[in-house]
Amino acid sequence: MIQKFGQMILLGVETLKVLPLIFKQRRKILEQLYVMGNESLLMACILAVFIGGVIALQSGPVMVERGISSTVGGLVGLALCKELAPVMMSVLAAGRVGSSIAAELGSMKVYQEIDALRTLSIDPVEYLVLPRVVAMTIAVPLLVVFADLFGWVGGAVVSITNPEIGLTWQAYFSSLDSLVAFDDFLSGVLKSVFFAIMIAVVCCYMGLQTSGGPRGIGKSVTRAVVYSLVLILIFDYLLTRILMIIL
Amino acid sequence: MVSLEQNSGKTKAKAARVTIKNVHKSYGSLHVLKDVSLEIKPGEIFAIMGPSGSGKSVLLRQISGLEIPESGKVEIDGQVPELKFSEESRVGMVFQSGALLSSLTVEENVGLFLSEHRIYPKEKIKSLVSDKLKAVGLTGIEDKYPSELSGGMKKRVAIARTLVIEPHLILYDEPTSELDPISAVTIAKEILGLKQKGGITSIMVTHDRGLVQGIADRVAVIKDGKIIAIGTPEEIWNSGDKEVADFIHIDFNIQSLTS
Repeated sequence: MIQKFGQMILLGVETLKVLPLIFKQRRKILEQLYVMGNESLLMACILAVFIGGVIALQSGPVMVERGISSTVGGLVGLALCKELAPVMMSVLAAGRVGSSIAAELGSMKVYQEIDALRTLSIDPVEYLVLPRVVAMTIAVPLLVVFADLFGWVGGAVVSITNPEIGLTWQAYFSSLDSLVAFDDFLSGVLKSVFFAIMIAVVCCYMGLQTSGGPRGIGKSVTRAVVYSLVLILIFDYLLTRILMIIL
Repeated sequence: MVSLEQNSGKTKAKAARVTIKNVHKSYGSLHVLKDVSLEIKPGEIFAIMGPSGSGKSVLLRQISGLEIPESGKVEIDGQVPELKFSEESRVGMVFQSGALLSSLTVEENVGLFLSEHRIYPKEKIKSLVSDKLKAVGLTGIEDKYPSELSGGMKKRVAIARTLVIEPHLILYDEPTSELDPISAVTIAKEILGLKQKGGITSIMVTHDRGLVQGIADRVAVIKDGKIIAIGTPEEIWNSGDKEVADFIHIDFNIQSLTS
């Protein structure tokens, strides 16, 4: 296990070393971005609307009962941008994009396509890992921004239409505006940048380590998703602690 | 920056000499290659035969530079094989399945080396790719994806991809496996043609006795990681050595298996 983490860190370092070649790989980065956006954007927006809605639904009546209904918007806003949007979007990225990265690279490894690249003097880290890491690092924070916006709207719809809460559109968003600072929004986006790099490196590593045919590919995909989810939750706590000190 | 002089076809390319000295390779406690030594002459078609799991493909990976021997050394024209392209030592490898990148078209696969290393402008790459595909008898498939090709076509595209680097040495891993007899003969003709026209050294790992008899200059038989015989196909076929004869002349009698 420790050896695996060490090798993942090494893959991350190797990717960092080829970062200056980002311009050369721009076409592949854009292709990956398109695939990631295509696979995840609609799902991210739907998820976010319902997450925002359910926070408002659960907390709204309680807050109304205690006479603090004016803070429902702020609560939904804070919960989403500081915690739920970055974590849920990273989970979504690990499940949808990370698994397909592990499967694709795993299949390339098993069918000797990666060996073929190496015999053509093409570095698999530059050709395969770099575009995926960079695209994921751009895509996940963008998904978080969309999730924040759609989640806030989902919360607003429930707060306005649910008679037990009965807020106005204006009251909801003025509470959100007064309680959510730019730093709160930024902390969520920063967390998602870290998660994105971590998911991409973990999933690429699992793909590149695949052996043993189609069964091996299945195992790599499962490992990639499980490792990503566990690491997201562990680093969520650690990063939150660090960002609370910094921001 | 990689530079690449393309052979016009009028002159023969420089053929590589391969020297393998006392190579040893193991995976954990499994010793796959034991003190293997070989000398492959420039322009030769050299076959490596042996039972499954005897270490043939592992030996090919040591020659290609994909793996490094634990002890002993492999040299191509006096240089240790590296995966970094160099003018002096150009090694191409054709994998068993062809190993074409499934997400790329035939044209992109064949031109991959040139486009990734930015050797020529797009138009020149396109025309070179077309030339190399013609050289292996394929035309009009540039826009197809590997999944749309037959096994034989995939291998020929893989050979074309290798030809783009103007190789001095081509390594073939089971070039005729999983092919029908007609496709196998086509591949055999390609390998022989590359020797005759281009003077390229070829090393092939194969179980195909017909292929070895038909085109190989010399053959080595490997068993349990050790070379047990080297010679011309005739010498090997007529070998009095029991181990060699057992492998070469094994002939399944279906009736004896079913009775």
